[in-house]
Order: sequence, then C-alpha cells, then structure tokens
Amino acid sequence: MEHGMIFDVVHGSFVDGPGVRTVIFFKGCNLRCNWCHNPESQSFKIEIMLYKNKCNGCGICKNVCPQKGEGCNLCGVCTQYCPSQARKICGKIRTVDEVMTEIEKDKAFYNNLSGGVTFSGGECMLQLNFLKALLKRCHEEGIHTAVDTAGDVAWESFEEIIPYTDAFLYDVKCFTDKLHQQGTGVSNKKILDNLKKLSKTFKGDIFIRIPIIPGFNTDEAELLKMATFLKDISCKKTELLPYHKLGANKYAALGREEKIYTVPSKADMEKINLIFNT
Amino acid sequence: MNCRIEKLLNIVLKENYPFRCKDGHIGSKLADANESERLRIIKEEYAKVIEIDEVSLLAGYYPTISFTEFNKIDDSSAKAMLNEKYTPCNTNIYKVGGHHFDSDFEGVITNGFSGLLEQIESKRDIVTDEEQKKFLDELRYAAQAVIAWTQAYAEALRIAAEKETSKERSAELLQMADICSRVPRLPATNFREAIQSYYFTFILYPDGLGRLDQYLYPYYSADIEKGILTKQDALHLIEELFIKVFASNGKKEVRSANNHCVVGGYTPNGECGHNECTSLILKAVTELPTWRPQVSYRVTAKTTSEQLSEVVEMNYKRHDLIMFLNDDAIINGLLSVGVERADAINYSSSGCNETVLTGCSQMGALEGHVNLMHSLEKMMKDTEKLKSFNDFDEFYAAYEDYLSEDLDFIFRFSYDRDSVMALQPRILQSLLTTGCIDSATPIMRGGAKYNFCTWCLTGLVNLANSLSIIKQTVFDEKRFTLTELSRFLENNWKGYEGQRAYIINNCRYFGNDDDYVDLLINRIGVSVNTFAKKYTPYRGGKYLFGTLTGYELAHIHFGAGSGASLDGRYASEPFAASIDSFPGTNTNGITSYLKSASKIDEAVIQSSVVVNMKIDRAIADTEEKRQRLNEVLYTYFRLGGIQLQLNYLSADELIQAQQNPERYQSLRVRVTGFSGFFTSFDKDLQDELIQRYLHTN
Repeated sequence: MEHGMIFDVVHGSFVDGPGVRTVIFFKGCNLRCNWCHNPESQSFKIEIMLYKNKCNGCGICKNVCPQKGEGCNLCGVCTQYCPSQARKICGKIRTVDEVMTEIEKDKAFYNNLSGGVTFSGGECMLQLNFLKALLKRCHEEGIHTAVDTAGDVAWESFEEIIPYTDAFLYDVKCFTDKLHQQGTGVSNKKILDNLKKLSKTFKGDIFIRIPIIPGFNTDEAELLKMATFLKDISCKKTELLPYHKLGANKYAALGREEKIYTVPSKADMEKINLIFNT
Repeated sequence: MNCRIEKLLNIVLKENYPFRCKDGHIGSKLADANESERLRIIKEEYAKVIEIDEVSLLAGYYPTISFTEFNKIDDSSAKAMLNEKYTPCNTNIYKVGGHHFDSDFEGVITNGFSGLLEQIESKRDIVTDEEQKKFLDELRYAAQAVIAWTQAYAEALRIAAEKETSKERSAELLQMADICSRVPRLPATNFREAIQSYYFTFILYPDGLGRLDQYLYPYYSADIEKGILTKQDALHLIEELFIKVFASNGKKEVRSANNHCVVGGYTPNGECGHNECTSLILKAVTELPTWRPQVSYRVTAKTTSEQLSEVVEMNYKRHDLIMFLNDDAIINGLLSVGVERADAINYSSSGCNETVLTGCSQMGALEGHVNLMHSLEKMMKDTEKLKSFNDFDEFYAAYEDYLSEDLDFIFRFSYDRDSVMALQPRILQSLLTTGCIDSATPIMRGGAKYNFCTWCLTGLVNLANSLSIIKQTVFDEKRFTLTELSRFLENNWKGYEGQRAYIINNCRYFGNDDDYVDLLINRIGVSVNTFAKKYTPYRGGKYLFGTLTGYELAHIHFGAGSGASLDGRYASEPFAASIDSFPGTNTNGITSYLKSASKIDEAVIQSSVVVNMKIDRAIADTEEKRQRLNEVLYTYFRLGGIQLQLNYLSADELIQAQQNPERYQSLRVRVTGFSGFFTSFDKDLQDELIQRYLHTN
C-alpha cells in the first residue's frame, strides 16, 4: 500500500479551506522560506526536536536509550519517556488506510459548508503517489478535498491530482523572481506559470494565500505587482496571512537559526488587504 | 433597555435581597391564631407590610417567614442527624449534594390555585387514612394561604393606586391590582396574567424556572394577534422577571446556577418549540448585566441550522449563561428509565445541570457525589490479589467487586438520608408537584408522580483512563505488571517519573475519539447501573446517575483526599470535572473531543453530563467562523452528544497554562491567521496572548 511521511494531523480546523476540516501535514518541502513557521516540515526525514527550555535535565532520556546515547537511530524511545515533553519526535510513516482512519473520524462534521480534508505540508505534492491515492480514496467516499501547495512542482503533477481535487489553497509569496529566490531559495517562475494554467483549467475553487512578511514582500510596488498578476487569476478568495513568531522555538528545538521579521500591525494588514480585496 | 428596567437594575445591583417582605412579625401571629383566623391574618398583615415601588409591573416580594413554616425541619438539621451516623466511615467515598426542583408552573398558570383546591377537595372526600387526610388539609391551607397572600397584593396595590399622584403610574397600579385579584387564584387569560402567576409561583419555591418560553408563548401569540401586547412590552416584562429572579439570591451569590431556565425543545406534538418567546428570553439574558437565570437551550432533531445559529450568536455574547442540551439524547435516557413520553418531553435542567421532570418529580436531583476512584485506589493497594489476572476482563470483573462494595455503602447511606429528609413535609413543594395530591403523600415520602434518586459519579474519566492504561500497559503491551503500577502509586510517582511520562505520552486517554478508552465510560456506567438495580431508593423509583461536580466541587474534594492515580495524577490533585479530559491529553482537537463525549450512553448516564469546552474566543470572533462552529455543534448533537457549554478562555487560565505548561498541552490558541498549541509558544507570544485576553474579557 502507498505510504508517506506525515508530521501532524489537525482535527476540526476552521482556517484551512472551506467549512470544518481535517488537515494532514506532509513532511518535506522544496522551498526554504525564511519565515517558515513549521521548520520541522522542511526535511523529508524523521527528526528529534529538543525544547531546551522545557528540559529539566533528569537524564531519563539517556537511561532509556537503546543506543546508550551514542549514534541516534531516531527510534524515539527517549521522547516516549521524557517527563517534561522536551523531546518530541517529528515525522511518521503512515499508510493510506491509517490516514483515512484519521480523516473519517471527522466525516460527520463536514456537512453543508463543504468541509472536508486539506492536505498540507511541507509540500504535499512532493509525495505525489501517496497524495493521489489519498485524494482518490476521499473522492470515493464523497469527502471534499483541498490541496495546500506552494506550486513549485511540475505541471504534470497537477494534472495527476486535479481529477480528485475540489480546491487548491495556493501560496503566492511575491511576484519578483529575484526576491522570491532570496526569500525562499527557489525561483517562482514555475509557481506562477502553474497558477496561470491552474486558473484556466481547474473547475474547482482556488484560494490564494499570501504570507505578509514585512521587509520581504510589503514594499508597495511589490504588492501592486502581485495584485496585478492575481487580477487574471480566477480565485474564490485571496487570504492574507500575517507573519507571526509561532515557529521561533521550533527552530531552536531543531538546532537551527531563525530569521526574525517584524509582525505586521493590524493597520498595516488592513491597508494591504485593500490592495488585494477591493 | 428602557428606564423602568434600568431603575430595577439599579435597585438589585445596589443592595442585596431588595425584593423581600418585612414580614417577620406575621409568623408569630399565625402561631398564636386558630385555624379560621389564619387566612385573615395573612391577608391583612401582608397588606400592611407590602411596599409598592415606583417602577415594578410585576407584583410580589419574597416572604421570609410564613411560607417557610410549612417546612418542619431544614436540610442542615437532616444533614447533622446523618453526619452523626455516618461520619465515622465517611472517608472519601461520598459527598452530599442538594435537590433542585422545578414547580409545576404550567399547572398553576392554566388551572390556578383554585384548580388545585378543587383537586384537593375531591381527593379529601375519598381518602380514609387519617395521616393522608391531615396532609390534604395542610395542602388546602397552603393553597388558601397563597391565595390570601396574593389577594393582599391586590389590596395593597389598589390603595397605592389611590394615593398615587402620577396618573400614568396610578393606572399601572390599578391594572396590577386587577391582575393580582385574579392570578394565581384563577387560570391566566393573557400574557400579563401568565407572567404574574408564574412569578408568584416562583417566589414560593425560588429555584428552577422550567420551560418558561413554552408557558408564555400561547398567551403571547394570542395577545399579539389581538393587538393588546407588543413584542417590546413582552421583552421588558421578561427582563423585569429575570431581574427579580436574580434578586432572589442577590449579587453576593456570584454563581449562576441557582436559577436555571430551559428554552426550545420539543412541543407535545413533537415539533421544535423554538418560538418568539424563546428569542425574547435569550435576548433578555444576553442584554441584562445580571448573572442569573442561566439558560439551557434544548436542541431537537427539528431545530434548524438558523435557529441554532441564533443561539450560538447569543452564546458568543454570554457564554457564561447560555448552554446547550440535546433533547433526543436526554428524552431517550428518561424513556429508558420508564418515564412517559409526555413527561419526558417536559424535562428541565435545574441547578447546575440536573435533569428533572418539570413539576411532577422528586428526582433526588443531586443526592450526592460518589468517588468512583476510591474503589480502584483500594484495589491497587491489595497487592496480593493483583498477581492473579490473565486478561483485562478478569481484572475488570475483580474491580467490580470493589466498586460494588463502595456503592453498597452509598445506597444504604442514601436510603437512610432520605428517610430523615422525609421528616420534612414540604407542603408547598408538594402542592406544586403533580402526583402529591393524587397520592395524598408528601413529596419527600414519594408522593410525586416520578421518584428517582440521582447520584453523580466523580472521577469517571480518571477511572476510564486508569483502566485503559492498565489494559494497554499490563495486558496488551506487557510493559508493566500490576504490582509495578501499584508501586508507582504508592510512591506518588516519585522515582518513577519516566514511567509516568511513558503513560502520559503514549497511553490512550478519553477525549481523542478513541473507542479503546471512550467506551470504558459506558462499561463502567453499565456496571454501576446493574449494581444499582438491586436497590430501591427510599422514595421509590430508581437510582439514576450523572457526572456533575456541582457547587460542592466534588472533583476537588475527592481529589484532595485521594492518592496518586494511574492516569499520571499526583496525590491530592483534583479529579476531572464531569467528563473533562485529563489536563494535557486531549491533543486531537475540538471535533475529536466532541466525538468522544457523544459516545456517552444516556441510558447509563441519565442525568447531567457536562461537556465544558474551553475554546479561544478568536476561533469564533467572526460570524463566518461561528457558522463553522455552528456546524460542529449541529453534528455533535446529531451524533448524540448530551450537553455542551462553550467556555471562551480567560487570561487567568492562560497565565495558569504559562506557569504549568505540562497541564495545558492541549490548549489551542489562535494567533492571527493560524492556531497552535499555547504551551509551544515563546514566552513573549504567550504574554501577548494573555494581554489579549486581559483586554477581551
């Protein structure tokens, strides 16, 4: 059976697509956005996170370690016995059946507002066969499906899943390619091309999601360029997601440095919203 | 809010108990008088002490003396008598509660006290037993006394109208006098009379409010049609009623549960009873600054999404006062214990969340609380026995013996207690309860049409979690032995921090939509009910069970006296309140918790189930989001969820979460466009959110 790497499942989300949703977070991404609030979603591998501020130094992790603390093989036993929950294992191989069991738990709540499942990440489209198998199964069971993507994949990948997808949540970070490369490590050419194609061919709903990162994409000229580009895109809604520091201690837990931005004010957000939603 | 309502609010919020009669002297006069004199004394003496304020449209102050004389001993002396008997063995197994009660308002409004008198007379003609004759004579005197007392209002109002200089107020007083001369003696003929009749009845036993919207609606719609009432006038009268209901306990009582009103729910012909009076009641509760009555909205299978949405909107404004009940689940539970459908449909929630059959029952609504964890604690100390189980079922069967030992103690206590309580004739309560006239028996001796005795199960979730942990770690994984588990508890987890962490991090806890543990709740419930069937309560009927922790805070009380438990709880920490999940273990989100809660079988937990959701205000801060919340609630009730209250978070709780993060692992908080677990946030962000809560509340 198809299987894939998942790092989280959220039941009853009100913010990741229409209605009440189950969100399946795939692990692994091909973008490296400086502001990423889920840094643990980037690597395709299992990771052990250590929240040092929670660690009380009890040493139980070392005592229970089958490797005696030498040469971690990511078995996760230390996370099971950690009394302060300072150690977390992130990432688990799951089969289609296992993920479907999680999704079906919420089925009764989907109802009339076209609630359903959202596959997110990381970049869920990079585990294409797994994603496709899940989407197919959902459609067989009449569950509304949404795919949350950054779009930096081959157009053929979209073609593979479009028949089983009811909505896309499509991230657009900025318009200027050079800026995009600085902020995410990759060019946005494919991303914008894919969005244009999707807009023309996809019959379902497209929700555009723009992270608002002061100092990265909040230059007025840049915002206007994005807005102009999006005018030709037929989308159901453009959502602005203000930068926040939710991920800050996750970087530390992974032993990584975080790039800090400022959080946009409510007034800034209102101003920017006028550019996109008038 | 009009100025009449504002003036009334000023009165109740400024001082306590403002609507009380200065009737202290009447009691002694009555004691000296012979029977034929007594009604005259009530009428005349009350007319002298009644104060008519400048703004009220509803007449009636709380009598303090003459009506309590109908009770021969009070609860506290009954409790004292029992404590004497049970204190030596009253360790940590039970805690007594109190009975909440809803009068037969509907009967009074539609038939009047004259109707009750007729019933009493015809019964009096046929009974032969001297005791019963005497009881019926007392009922007759009580009914006549109520009439005399309300007639005194008519008289006092008439005199006040004559003296009144303002023409407008004088006319109002005359109208009030006219109303009081008719009700509650006679059946009400319009909205004003219905609400006045209701209020007088409430004063006689100022507790539950029953199904107020259903009582008022026939009069409301008829008057609106005739053009003699406006919606606005009806709203103001309901607001005035609620202010006076609030005054019955005053502002010193900071809690909300003394007066509980239910609205919505099925009509006798099986339709959804959400009517215009329902909306007015919700509006009144939402707009008034007072904190009683609290209102439970009864959701039916026929309640539309729009109707539910109206209540969700009101609930968002006053989540402290508006709650949800599921008619189909609760009514099914009542049918399963032998209640007739017509009476089951008329249930109310009284006090905190006690299910009562309105006006026709003595449910023993909160006879007391049982500490379910006591039996498991005792068993886990019995180390010799712990060695001999091959599988979980064998273990469970042995556990049932410990449970039945505790329950046996409870039921014997319960019977004794009720036999002492039966010394109180409670004449007024009997008069206002269908069945007591017919059976010519006082309510405390089983005279009501329905008799039950309800005990609440404390530690139910802790027990289910503990059993789940035993099943998983001892029998499925074979990771620990029962003797080892026993040692963890004996040492209050000291030296076993890793094992405790293993359990919390890996075991299956209630609240995550996992049948493995969720269904254990029902299994325990079946055991309790099966055992209870061997006993009959003092007043007759059956033992019923709820999960309330009540004003008694039984979960804290029992927790304080208990050792560590297998769910990771340390000695003397509180148990779960009702069916709250163990702190930090409901990590699967709102829908999973509600699904777990919806699995509770109403045939085994027939009374209160309290599902107290703590959610972030930001999850519901736009109408669009509340639509999604509405969708979640709609599904929850369709799945059979019994009760729900939404608790938007407080700054206080967030501060607690910041200081004790391990207990708040499942707390999800929204930050602008995202939500995440509060305890995983940096301190700065936590501080910011706390600030936000300080500002919103």
